[in-house]
Amino acid sequence: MASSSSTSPDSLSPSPPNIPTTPFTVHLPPASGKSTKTKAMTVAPDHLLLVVVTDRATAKKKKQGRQWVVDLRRDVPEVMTLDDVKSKFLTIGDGDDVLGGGLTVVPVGCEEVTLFLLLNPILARLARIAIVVAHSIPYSTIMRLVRDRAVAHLPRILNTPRSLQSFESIESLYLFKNCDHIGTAIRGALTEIKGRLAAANQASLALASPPPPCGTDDALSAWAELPDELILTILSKLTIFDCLRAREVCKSWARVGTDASLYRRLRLVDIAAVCGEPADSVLLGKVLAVPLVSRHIRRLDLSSSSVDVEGLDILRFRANKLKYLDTSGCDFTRRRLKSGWLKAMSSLEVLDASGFGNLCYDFPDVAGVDLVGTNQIAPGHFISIDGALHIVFNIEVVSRQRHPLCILTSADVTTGHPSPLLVMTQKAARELNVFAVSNSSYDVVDVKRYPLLRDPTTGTTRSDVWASDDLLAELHSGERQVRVFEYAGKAYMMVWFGL
Amino acid sequence: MSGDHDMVKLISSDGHTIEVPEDIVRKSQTLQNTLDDLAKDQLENGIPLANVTHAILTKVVEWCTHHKDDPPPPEDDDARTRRTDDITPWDADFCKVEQTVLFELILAANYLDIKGLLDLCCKTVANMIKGKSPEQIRQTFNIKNDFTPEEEEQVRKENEWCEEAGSTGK
Repeated sequence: MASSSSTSPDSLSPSPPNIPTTPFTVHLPPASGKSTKTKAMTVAPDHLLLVVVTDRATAKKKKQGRQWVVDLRRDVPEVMTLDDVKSKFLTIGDGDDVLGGGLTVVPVGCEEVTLFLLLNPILARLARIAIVVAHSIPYSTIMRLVRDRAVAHLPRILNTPRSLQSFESIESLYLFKNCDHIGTAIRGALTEIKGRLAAANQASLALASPPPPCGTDDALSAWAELPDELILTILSKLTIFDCLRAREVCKSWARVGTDASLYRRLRLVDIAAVCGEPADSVLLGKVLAVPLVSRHIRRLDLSSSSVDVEGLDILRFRANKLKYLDTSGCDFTRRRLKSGWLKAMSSLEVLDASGFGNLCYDFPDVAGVDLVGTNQIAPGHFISIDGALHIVFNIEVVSRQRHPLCILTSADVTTGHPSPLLVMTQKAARELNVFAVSNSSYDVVDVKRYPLLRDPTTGTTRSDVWASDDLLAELHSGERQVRVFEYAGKAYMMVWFGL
Repeated sequence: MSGDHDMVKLISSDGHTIEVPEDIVRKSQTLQNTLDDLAKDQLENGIPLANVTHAILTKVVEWCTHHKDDPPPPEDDDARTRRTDDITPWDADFCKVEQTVLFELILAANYLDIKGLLDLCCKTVANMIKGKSPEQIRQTFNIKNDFTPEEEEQVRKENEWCEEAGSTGK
């Protein structure tokens, strides 16, 4: 958080501070990445320069820490009165929405503002708050005020432990150049507050509570008071099952535990292992009955589970925002999927259906009824069905329907990394979409061995085709067969092995 | 190794100064920024770390020293970060500390922005949470149940599945 570059070097001197009597200027970094203009802000001798810094996560969102500081300027007047601050900062509402950080000037007489910010419960919810005061005011004065008032507010701080945390975090102001003296002063106040707090704690402990069971007296409930960001980090290491149960522990965990990121992806067999139930459609139904899961789930991995067609059907209602579904190794042969299923799953971008031993048997139906004609079958959407024995047949169905489609091996999709094959398709030919049906071999990547494929669009259009009206090229190489054909002005390549 | 490395003075909140090789200090993103921003002479008096006590700072430096040759941690990868069984024996040993220390370590790792350490500590905590009922978690971490009965009921209701599985699974 090196926003210190915003202060002009000659206007501020390291401690001991000289107290200037003339205005000084700070140069603010450009407001946007494109602009190179720095903005100068003049701070009158009787004004304070105030910097508010938010937590790391917020700062990270803005590209590089240096620019975000100024963003706030648009939203906060450069000169604030206490009332301004109160109305601005208090009405912003949820801590997540508090502006990214800011730099502003307040008149002397508003030292209270500083303290106010320190004690503000909303700002205190941000992980870090740094207040930097320009040296135009004798810092001893400011710090005396801060200290006096902070100490005077001690009862209030005691009642709002989160405020105290903001005190704990203000050390980030150390990262601002030339402000060490202020840091020292604030730390002095802090130490005093902490000392009193400890004394108060001990007194209250001695008075009331029985000794805590684990002997971690001063950490009592501290875990519940971790900054939200850190609670979230911990929860994100848990499976959804444990995470949901952790929500029942206390309010702060419950609140943080609603974060969507915790429920984006789910692997059923992992959940099954944790809660000791079979990984089947029943469990899937129960998991998806949890509103947080159903609302936020985007990637669902059902691989190697015993989820059946009934289970898949649940997804239509409970998880129709899924983008990724892995059903590899599932057995859907006993009953057929309802037609319209895929249509209902309109957000689905990747369907991994690899490992369907009997796919040939059942899938043509699905392909004929459901796969075709849905928006899943579009360039950029991937369906992985390798491992199926007679997939060629399905391709034929699909391609007859003239739906551009990319088919990958499951390995590509499940690891989330584009395979060399995929890279090739994106790079080598914007016009070329690849149909690849393989037995999980990546040999197909080596397109150099198929010179005909390098520029398929230059081929002549032919009418005697396999599964298409516009076969451009056909190539047999050992057990491999490659066909390139044209559809809607684009070339498609189809490769399969082991014929 | 002292000869080759510039040493940086770090001052803990309880006033102890320790000297740490610069490359170790740079494991902390926060301190790295500080180093880059401050002139040499400004560093002479040391960098005060008012959030970090001597005991914790020593632990942090120990971890950074052991991991000094690690590649920088990859960007957040959800699939990877959910794993908590990939803690090396050294790290596991490192985390065998009292809860208060672990807690302070998390705060320090966060404050100093040392991703690897923060990750490790959070994983350790996650492992302590795993498989426990809410009440067991509260006991483990000394957390007070601050729900009103209505709120608790609400959360439980949303978690119906866990409640069920939790009771049958035990």
